[in-house]
Order: sequence, then C-alpha cells, then structure tokens
Amino acid sequence: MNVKLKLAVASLKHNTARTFYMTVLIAVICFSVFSGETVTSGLCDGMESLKKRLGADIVVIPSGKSRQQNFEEILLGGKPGFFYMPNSVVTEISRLDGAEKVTAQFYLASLTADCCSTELQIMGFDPESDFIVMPWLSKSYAKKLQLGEVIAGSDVFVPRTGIIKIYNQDMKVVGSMDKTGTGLDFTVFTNTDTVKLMLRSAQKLGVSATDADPDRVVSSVMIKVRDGFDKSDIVDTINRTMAGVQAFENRDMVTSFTSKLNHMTLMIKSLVGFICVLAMIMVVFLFSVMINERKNEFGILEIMGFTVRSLLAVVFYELVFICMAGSLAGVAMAAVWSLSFKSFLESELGVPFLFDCSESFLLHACVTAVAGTILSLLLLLPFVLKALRTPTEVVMRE
Amino acid sequence: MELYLRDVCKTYKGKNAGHDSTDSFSMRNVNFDLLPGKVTLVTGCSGSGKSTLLSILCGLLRPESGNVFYGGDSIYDRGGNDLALLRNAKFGIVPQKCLLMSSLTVRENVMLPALYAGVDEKKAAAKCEELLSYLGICSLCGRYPRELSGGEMRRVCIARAMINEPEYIFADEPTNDLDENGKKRVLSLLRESAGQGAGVLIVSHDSYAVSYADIKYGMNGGRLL
Ligand SMILES: Nc1ncnc2c1ncn2[C@@H]1O[C@H](COP(=O)(O)OP(=O)(O)OP(=O)(O)O)[C@@H](O)[C@H]1O
Ligand SMILES: [Mg+2]
Repeated sequence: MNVKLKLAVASLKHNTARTFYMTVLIAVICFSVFSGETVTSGLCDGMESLKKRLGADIVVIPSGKSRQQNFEEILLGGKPGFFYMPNSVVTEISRLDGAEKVTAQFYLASLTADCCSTELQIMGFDPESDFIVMPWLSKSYAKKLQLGEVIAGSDVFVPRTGIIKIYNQDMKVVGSMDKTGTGLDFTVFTNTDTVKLMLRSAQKLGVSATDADPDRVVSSVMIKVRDGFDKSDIVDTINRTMAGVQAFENRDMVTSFTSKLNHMTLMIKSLVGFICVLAMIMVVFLFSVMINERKNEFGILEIMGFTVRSLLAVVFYELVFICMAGSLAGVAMAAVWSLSFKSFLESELGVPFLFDCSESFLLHACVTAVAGTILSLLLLLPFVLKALRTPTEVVMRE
Repeated sequence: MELYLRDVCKTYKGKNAGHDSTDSFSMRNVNFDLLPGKVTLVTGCSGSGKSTLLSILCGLLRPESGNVFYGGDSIYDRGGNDLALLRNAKFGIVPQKCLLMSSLTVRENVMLPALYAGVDEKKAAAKCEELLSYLGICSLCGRYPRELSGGEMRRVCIARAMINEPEYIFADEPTNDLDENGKKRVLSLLRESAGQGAGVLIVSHDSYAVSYADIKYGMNGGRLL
C-alpha cells in the first residue's frame, strides 16, 4: 500500500471518535438534502403527471361555490364525488370559435353499501369525442371498452374474479392503470353509456342522490383550444354568456393544491437548509479543531521530508474517505427512508405524490452522493491548506 | 557533499525574545561548516540560538539573509518539494521535542521515512530492527507513542532520524531524558555513523557529549565561539 494511504488509514482508525462524528455529520447533511429532494420532486412529479393527464386547456363544470373544490378532490384527493349540468352545455360550447376539441365527462360515486363492492369514483368518458382519458388509457387496454367493462386505477381493489359490483351491476375489469399518485388511482374509468347504466340502476334502487335524467346531463366539459385563440378570452366568454356553469383554465384548476404544494416545498427546503447549515457549522468547527491538533503531525512529517503535496495527499485521502462514507450512508438511509415512508407520505400529505425506486431515482442518489463528497471536500480543504502553512520550525520547538 | 552556511542572519522580534541585551534575539553573520565524517558539538546556554542554528542548517527555517549550501548549491533556493525530498533522502533530524506520529506504532514511526523514500519494506524493517536493538528498545516496537517514557521516545526519534542512513545527522539534545547507559548508546551510535562518513551535528548542553565530539563550538547570544 502507498505510504500516504497507509498513514491516512492509520489516522482514521486511531481517531475513531473523530472519524465517526465527522462521518455522521456529513451523513446528516446528505440525508436531509436527499430525502428533502425526493419528497419535493415526488410532489412536483405527481403534480406534473396530473396536469398532463388532464390534457385540456379549459374545464367547464356546474357553477357553485364548492364545485371546483369538489372537482379537485375527485382528481387529486381520491374523494368520490359527482355533480351534473344540462348536456345542452356541450353543444353550446362546441359552437364557440376557439374550441378545437370538446368532450364531456360523467362522474359518479359508488357507495359502501350492499349494492356496491366499495366506495369508488367512476369517471365516464365519451369514446367518440374523448381526447383526455383515452390517450393514456390505451396503455392499459388497447381495445374499445364495451358496455359493462371498466379499467381500474392502480389502487382500486379488484377481486380475483375480475368483477366489481357497482349499484348491483357487475362490471368487468379489463385493465388497470399505472400509478399516478393522485385521486385517479382510486377511480374506475369507463364509457359514458356504462356510467349512465349505473346511475339508472342506482335511481331504481333508490340510493341515488340525484334524480337527473342520465341522458340529459353531463358532469364536466373539457376543451382544447385551437391555436391562435386566447384561452382566457374563451373562459371569459363562457362565464359571461352561459348560465349555471363555470369555466377555468387547466393552469388554475389545481390552484389550491399548487399553493399547498408550494407551501410544503418551501417548508421542506427551509428545514433541509437549516439542518444543513447547522451540520455544516458543526463539521467545520470539528474539523478546524481537529486540523489544529494535527499541525504537530504535519510538522513531524515535514521533518522527515514529506513534501507539502504528500501531506495534502494524506489529509485528502482521509477526507475523501470520511466524505464518501458519510455521503453514501446519508443517501442510502434517505433512500430507504423515502421508500419505506412512501405510503405514509402519500396518505398523510394528501397531495399527489409520485415516487418510485426507478433508475432515475438511483441515478439521482449516486449524483447526490458524489456531489456530497465533492462539496464537503471543498468545504474542508481550505482549513487543511491553512494548517499546512504553519512553519515546521515552530512545531519542532513548542 | 559538503554542507555549510554563510553569513546567516536571523532575528526574532517581540516580547518573548531572548535574553540578549535588547528584547530580541538575533543571529548575525554566522558561518559554519558541518564536516562529513566528524561529530560536531555545539554547546551553549539556554536561548543562545542552538536550535535556531540547527533548524536553519537542516532546511526547516529560512534565514533572513545568507544561505545554506549543500553540494555548492543554496538549499533555500530549491523549491519546497525539492528541499523536502533532500531532507528525506540525505538528512536525519532529531528534534529537541520528541515528536512521533500518535497513530503509528514505534516500528511504523521509525520505518516511515524509509517507506516514504521508496525503500523496500523488508529492508526498512531490517534496518529498523537493527537500530532499535542497538538503542535497547527493540521490545517496544509494537507500542504506540503514548505508551512510551520520555527516554524511550527520544530513542525512537533517533532511530527514525537514522533509518535512511543519512549523509547528515542533526541531533537537538539527543541525550535529554536518557540515563547514563542510554546516553552512551545514543552517542556511540552517532559516533559510529560519523565513522561511516556521515556529518553529525549534536546540539547539547550536556557535558557528557563532549568526549564523543571531534569539533566543538560554543554559542552565546546567537554568536558561535
Ligand atoms: N519563533 C520565535 N519567535 C520569537 N522568538 C523565538 C522564536 N524561536 C526562538 N526564539 C528565541 O530565540 C532564542 C534562541 O532560541 P533557540 O531555540 O535557538 O535556543 P536554544 O539555544 O536551542 O535553547 P535551549 O537550549 O533552551 O533549547 C530564544 O531566546 C528564543 O526565545
Ligand atoms: Mg534548543
């Protein structure tokens, strides 16, 4: 073994406590950075995937104070709900100049009662005009959905028979979706005809909360705006000219969640920052004390004829070891932590959260570990350089 | 190759300076030759500048003016790395204060300069063994410095200084902390090295060393007598 490396190892071993504390502190920094990072990026990814899945530029739903919140809870929170407006709205909107594509959706909530397997959100789309649900649904089921067939979100419990009962109607589950980290995971998707079938059945059973004629209502209308048209103009037009409905842009749709998310991200980031700064101060303090004690050692080595470069190498090896061990341990613990607390985060934070042990996650972990190593080295090396400037002759005599 | 210093001046200023007439220590135009194959002894009272002279000579303390020549070239005009490597290969230094690497055993401490110089590990180990047994501390070779007495540490430092069979040996108070027997061994070891051609400088106020020296100097207030 190289003499310098040997010296570094001997010193690390000899000063176990010192090595341990430094490593732990660096691990704390890396842990907080990486777990903070995973949580915030999981939140952002969940949000992004949701926005992508919404696909529409403008959403129109019945007017009413809590409707928008209702709508967001269906999509994000996995809290079943429904609301209806006359289906004449669809024709009216189709006539608008800037509307390139228009499609209606039909929502229904099942109950936890004898007639239903479980409480679920049902989202019906119109296969003729749909441009929102089918593009990503086709990944789970390429064929056309028949009457009585549904596709289940990733968290919907499907019995082995593949049949779920909704308002006494047996629904055949023909596919299931990838995880989105949103309310869509608790939703079953089907065509409008099937939803209407369910609603009628519910009305016959006398458990429906609405007596609206299924053939005359829709829940929401999604609009894709033609290029060259201003979205907010169209929103304005709809809100001004149509009674009983409200329109808003996709971007505003998840406002409450976006602000919640931003709030949370900020909180996490400041917490991470606080921990990091604290740990860094401690690392620097510990290290400068330790390096001061080691001026003596440097002097001894210089007396023996070690070059300054060799001295640097010795300390550098030690630091690399400490920083690397600390970063790896921190990142590994953060990874394990985020994986095992994933469901907790999903349910407790109550916001879309997307996070998987994927390649990019592992890559991210590696990058964080390497960056942690390099940054902690950069943080500590100036102290080494300063200590090396002490004249040897002083050491020799004192 | 010959080693000498010419017209060397060194001053320390400040409150904690020497007991010279002024409140600062100064060394003025000192000339000194360290001859190969001879034991040179420098004696003088405390604070007279012996350690300063030794430090300047072995390349650890840059003088304000004048220079130290090794083989005709000024050593302080070399680069720092070059000077360090010269010290490693040609000089053996016993500092006044015993300084050992606390994380290494006695054997590892003694062998370190040899391994750094690239000497084969077995060869270094054999040399180390030989030196330690000569100094009577062979049984301590697996111990750590904190487990040694003052005199034992002193002898480890001496063994370390001699592991690379240096051309010049600089020993600052090598007999401190040692009993009669220890002194005898250390001084005869140094004497022996001189016999094999090394230039030995002993700085000491121990009169015991006088009988081992070929050349004797006194020092007072930074002046060589
Ligand atoms: N770094 C320094 N700063 C200020 N004064 C110093 C410094 N180093 C040495 N001195 C002073 O220079 C003088 C000579 O010191 P030196 O160590 O050479 O003495 P010495 O002859 O070796 O003494 P001793 O026999 O006690 O070891 C002393 O008076 C000391 O106080
Ligand atoms: Mg001295």
